[in-house]
Amino acid sequence: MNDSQGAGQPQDDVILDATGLTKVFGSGAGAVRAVNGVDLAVRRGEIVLIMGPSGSGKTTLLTMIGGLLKPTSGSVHINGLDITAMKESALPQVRRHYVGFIFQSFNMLEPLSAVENVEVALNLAGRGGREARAKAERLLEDLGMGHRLRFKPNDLSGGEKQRVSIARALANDPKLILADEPTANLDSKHGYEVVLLLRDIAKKQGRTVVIVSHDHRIREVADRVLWLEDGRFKEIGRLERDPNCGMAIEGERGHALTHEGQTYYFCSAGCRREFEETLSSKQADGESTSR
Amino acid sequence: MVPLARRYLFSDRIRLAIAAGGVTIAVLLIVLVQALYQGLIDQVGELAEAAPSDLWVMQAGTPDPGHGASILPNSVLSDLQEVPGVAAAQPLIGRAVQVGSARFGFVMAVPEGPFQEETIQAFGARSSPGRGQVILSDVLAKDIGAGRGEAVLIGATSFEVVEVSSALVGSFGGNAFVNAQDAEQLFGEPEAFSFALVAVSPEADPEEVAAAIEAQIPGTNALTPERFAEVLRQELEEGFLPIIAVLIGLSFVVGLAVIALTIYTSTVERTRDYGVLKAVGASQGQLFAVVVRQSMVVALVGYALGSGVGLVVGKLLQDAVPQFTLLFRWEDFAFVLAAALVMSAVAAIVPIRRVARIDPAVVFRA
Repeated sequence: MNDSQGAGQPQDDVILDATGLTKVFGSGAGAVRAVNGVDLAVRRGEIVLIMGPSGSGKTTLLTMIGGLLKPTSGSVHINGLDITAMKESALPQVRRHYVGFIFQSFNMLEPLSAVENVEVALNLAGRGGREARAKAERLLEDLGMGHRLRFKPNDLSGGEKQRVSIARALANDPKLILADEPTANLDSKHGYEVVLLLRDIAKKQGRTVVIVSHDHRIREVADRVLWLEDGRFKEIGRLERDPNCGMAIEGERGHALTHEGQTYYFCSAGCRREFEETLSSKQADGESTSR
Repeated sequence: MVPLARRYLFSDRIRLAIAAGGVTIAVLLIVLVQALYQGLIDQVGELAEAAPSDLWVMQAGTPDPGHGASILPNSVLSDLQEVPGVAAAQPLIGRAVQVGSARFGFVMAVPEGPFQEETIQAFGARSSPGRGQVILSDVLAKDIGAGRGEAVLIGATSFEVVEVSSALVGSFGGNAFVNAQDAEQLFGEPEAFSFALVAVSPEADPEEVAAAIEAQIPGTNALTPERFAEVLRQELEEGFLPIIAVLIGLSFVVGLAVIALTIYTSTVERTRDYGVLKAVGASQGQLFAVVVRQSMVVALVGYALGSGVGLVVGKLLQDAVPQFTLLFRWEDFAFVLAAALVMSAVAAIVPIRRVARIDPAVVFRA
């Protein structure tokens, strides 16, 4: 694992190149600098995991990289295309052909079946008829969803929905996959399956994958882990897992609690308090049982 | 292609039913009002056009036989013979009179003349009734509740109904045919008639003959059957058209509001979906097409139902209320279709503006 931000990578292999990316919301005294001069270069087939506390600017960064949000300053190049210099009307074309999104809450279109959710992405790119249907089916079959093609989202489990979402992201063969908390709404088994799928997408299919997540398991497959805090990439410290909410946090910056000789780290005072309450109730239960 | 618009619409069938129902009612109203109006327009000129003559001659200033009585002295008939181009003049008696207890009907009689039988038949009667007899149009008979063999009061005189005919031609369908002598007595003008039906010589131009009649016989108007029908229709149009326009306009607004509200609420509910579509590469044009298609489907379903129900309701209405003569014309259905499509296009504007403003970043919110 490499914690650098990609400086010095061979440029011809760089799929995503963001430079001085800044986003300021509001103006004057109330202005919030959500992302502050971020540089990020990611190569073909690379998996980059961006972690950081809530409100650190991770999602804002992802939406700018994906051409969904115009940065206040800085530039984003995808496969050599400067998408920040493009007109708003040209961006859908970029999103159709160069970027695939995977969302935390799956974002499936409820009235459509699994296969139609994938097919619609192909339709938007101008591919229709049997060709689009066949490709959508093949993508879902490759992700182990062949037996659920005609199922509506309501009849699918969270893991299945995320597979459909991944198939949709891959529909138009994008070079760049952007995933926002892809495992957050999944149980550990399905979450891990998604982690492995993301690894395959990068390593077997040669796509570039940028993931924003708190999920520790993704570190196992990531080529680089970046820590975003207050809108900037910072030197990553020792990462700990909040035992209350599962969020990855830097040990030194977390809210610490030592219990029976073991030190726990929490993302917030609230999580620490909840954990303390859980410990207290367990202790009380233990005492009443021993009596 | 995935029929996204249709799926969105049909995923909430209650909403679709309400929307299509609203448009159906709007279309139904437009179709019926149009048909009623066209029925009136058609019928009001029917009598004028049915005359087996080249010209109608009437008392000046009484172009509408339903509202003004034309009275011409018999001397006009001989005066007409003096006008160059006039080949023959057939007198006609006709006036709006109370028939039965509470209904005005146009009571006609064809006195002896050069083409009496032809005139009687042209107006839908087989032959002139005898003294004390009346032929009623089916509409008038149904309206006053009179049947064959029964007595009916016309003005203050009792007549026996000898025939109820669906073939009688006349204004608003409420016609009665009586004997010429009875008509003279009924109207109290034995030396007068109402209209002269003039046949012009083969080589003469009816328009020129009409001008000559008006010039030579003061106090008369002479009109071709087409012009007479036009005058009658024009008068009706002037009276009814503003009301019709208001009714059609209101129906249009109702339909428009129903579609707009339905598509707008659906769009608001599906904000996230539109955000997802934007994120996966849908252009504004593609998203607008999804909205417009939904709007058009609602309008077309409403149009189809409204037109179908309109035809059925029209038939029932005509049976129940005989005075309602409805005329369904394909051009009116085409107009309603165009109105429905305009409705759908206008109704889509507000939802489209909403879709245009959707921030695709909404899809990242958990």
